[in-house]
Amino acid sequence: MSGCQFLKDISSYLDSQLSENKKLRMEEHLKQCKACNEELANLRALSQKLKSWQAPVLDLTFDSLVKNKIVALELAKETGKMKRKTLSILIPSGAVAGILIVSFLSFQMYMKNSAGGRLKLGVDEIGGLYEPYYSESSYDGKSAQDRGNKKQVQSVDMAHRSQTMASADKFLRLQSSANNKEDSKEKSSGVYHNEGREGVNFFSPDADFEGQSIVGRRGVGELAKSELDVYARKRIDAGFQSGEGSVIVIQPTLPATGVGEMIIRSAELTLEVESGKEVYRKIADICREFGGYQAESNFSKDTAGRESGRVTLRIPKDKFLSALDKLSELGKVKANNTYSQDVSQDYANLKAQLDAAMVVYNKMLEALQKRQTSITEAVRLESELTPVLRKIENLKNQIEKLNNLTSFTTITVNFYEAEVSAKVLEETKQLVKENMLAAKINAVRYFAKNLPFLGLVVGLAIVAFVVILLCATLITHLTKRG
Amino acid sequence: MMQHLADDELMRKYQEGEVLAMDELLRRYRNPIYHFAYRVCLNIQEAQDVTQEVFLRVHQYKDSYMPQGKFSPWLFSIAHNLCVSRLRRRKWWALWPRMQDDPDELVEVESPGPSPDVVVQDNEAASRVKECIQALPFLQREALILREYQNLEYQEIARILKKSLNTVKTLIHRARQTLKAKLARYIVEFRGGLE
Repeated sequence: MSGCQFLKDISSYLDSQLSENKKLRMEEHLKQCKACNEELANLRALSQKLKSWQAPVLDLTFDSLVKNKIVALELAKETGKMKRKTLSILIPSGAVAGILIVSFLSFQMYMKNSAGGRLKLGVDEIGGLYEPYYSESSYDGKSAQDRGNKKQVQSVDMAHRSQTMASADKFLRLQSSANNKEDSKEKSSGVYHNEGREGVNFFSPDADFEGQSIVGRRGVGELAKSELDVYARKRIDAGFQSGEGSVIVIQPTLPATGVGEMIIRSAELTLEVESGKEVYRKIADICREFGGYQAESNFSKDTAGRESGRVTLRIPKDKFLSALDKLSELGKVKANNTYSQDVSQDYANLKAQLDAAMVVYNKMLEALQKRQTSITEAVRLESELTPVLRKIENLKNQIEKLNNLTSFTTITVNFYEAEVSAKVLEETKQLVKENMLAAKINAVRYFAKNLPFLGLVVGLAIVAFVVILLCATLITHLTKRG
Repeated sequence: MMQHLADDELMRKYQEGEVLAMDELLRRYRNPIYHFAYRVCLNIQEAQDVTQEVFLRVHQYKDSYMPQGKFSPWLFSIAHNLCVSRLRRRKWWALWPRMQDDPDELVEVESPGPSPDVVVQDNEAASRVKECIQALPFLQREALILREYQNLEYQEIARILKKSLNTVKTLIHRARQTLKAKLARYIVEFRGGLE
């Protein structure tokens, strides 16, 4: 049986899968080969026997189940499409709405800032916390020029308020520099008259009167903060209600420089800095940047290694506030004292004296030239002229000195390093970094030392895992068979 | 009306949106596909899932079907792919004995049928046949099932299994030889009965 070459095709013959040619040959062969006939009969019987394994019948609900699934699938597809469509509309509309909202809010903020916002900030930040006092009192109802000279306004902040002060002061200076031109124009309407209002003055065409009346009623330095608040809010409300957008200017304690004004201005700034050397270098840079010069400088280092110094700068008067701003940024402002001395009257007096002396001198010179005098007479006249000439020279010098003092402002910067300076911090950080690195190196060394042991453990774990898997599979297999 | 249409024609109608065509396709092929899946997966629940998935895929990919008179091989090839992926998944799950279950056994017990007294002999033979087919290598089993139970041509089987014609011939031949050896007793009894 096993020798017949047709045996392997019996299966195909049974399934009618032979070609016509092969089929004919097979039929011829089957007539004479008993083994092949036996095989064919066996396969037929097998085929019949296999039919005895009937598969179960499907549930009647199967069709509806499939159809429901198809409907659900279609719905999901439609929902997906709808979602995509909705998103394609929602996203751009959301973006447009977002842009509109942001624009609207920005516009509102801008309007608020330009009208009353700054005042609110000014009152809260400055009126509440920044409370300078004045070495010389008071508002006496005269203009700065009339009042005479040496009106000194000193604003000293407490150390624990230094930061607030720095920001408030900066704010004030910014306001001041922004309104510098207006200050000069409004000088006559009371810029310098209102220094008595605890450092916060309000100027507007219609606000001035009310502000002054408050001051007048309560006296200098007595104006309560709450009243200032109320007043400020009143002004904001008035501004918004009237819709005029009235300009409310917060005047700093520092008098502004007017054109033609002769005011000596100076400031003393105390800074806590991180690196003394760095700040010293930066101060020199700032001085150069503003076209000034260093009048005096001092730099030292104490036993603990803390650096400190004192630098006196002469800065052109029109750059005073900007320079002060820039210098304040060099460290934490601990104190900021500003002084101003109005020497306009002195200047006017000196000018008048000079003019008078010049007149005397000219007349004496004219008399000397016209008159025919003797030598002794000429010597006498000459000796009379000498004190006049000396006086003229002296006056000229004084005027020159005043010019110099007023055209350049003086800023003295005191700086010192904080007790725990950034340098120490940096050193600590470096130390920690080095320790971390050492720890890492130790860990790597430990790992390298124990690598064979670790490898062994990992290898054993893998082997154990594989063995467990094999056992599990084997048990399952055996259980199934059993 | 749909009953007289060929498979390709039904598919074409379904592609055009005729929903009733799916009803006819379901009527024609739900049981063949289900039986095929059952005999391959040997699990009723999985067979139902596969059958359902086959018709869902027919719906999903109806537009990609090109009517060339090969609808049933296409259907069976989908079923074959699904069975293969399921068995592959099951193979991995089988590595964890606790998670493995064999609901087929329970279903066999619970499934309604004629009285055991009447059909005890047939049942014995049937379960032996099932065991022997189950013990066959996967491809031999599939080829044999497609030939013996679905009456597909060798050419169609080759297309479904993505094998050559000769391979299919060999697979079926080997499967029959194995089964012939294992079921020799039943074959002799059967032939004796016939004679």
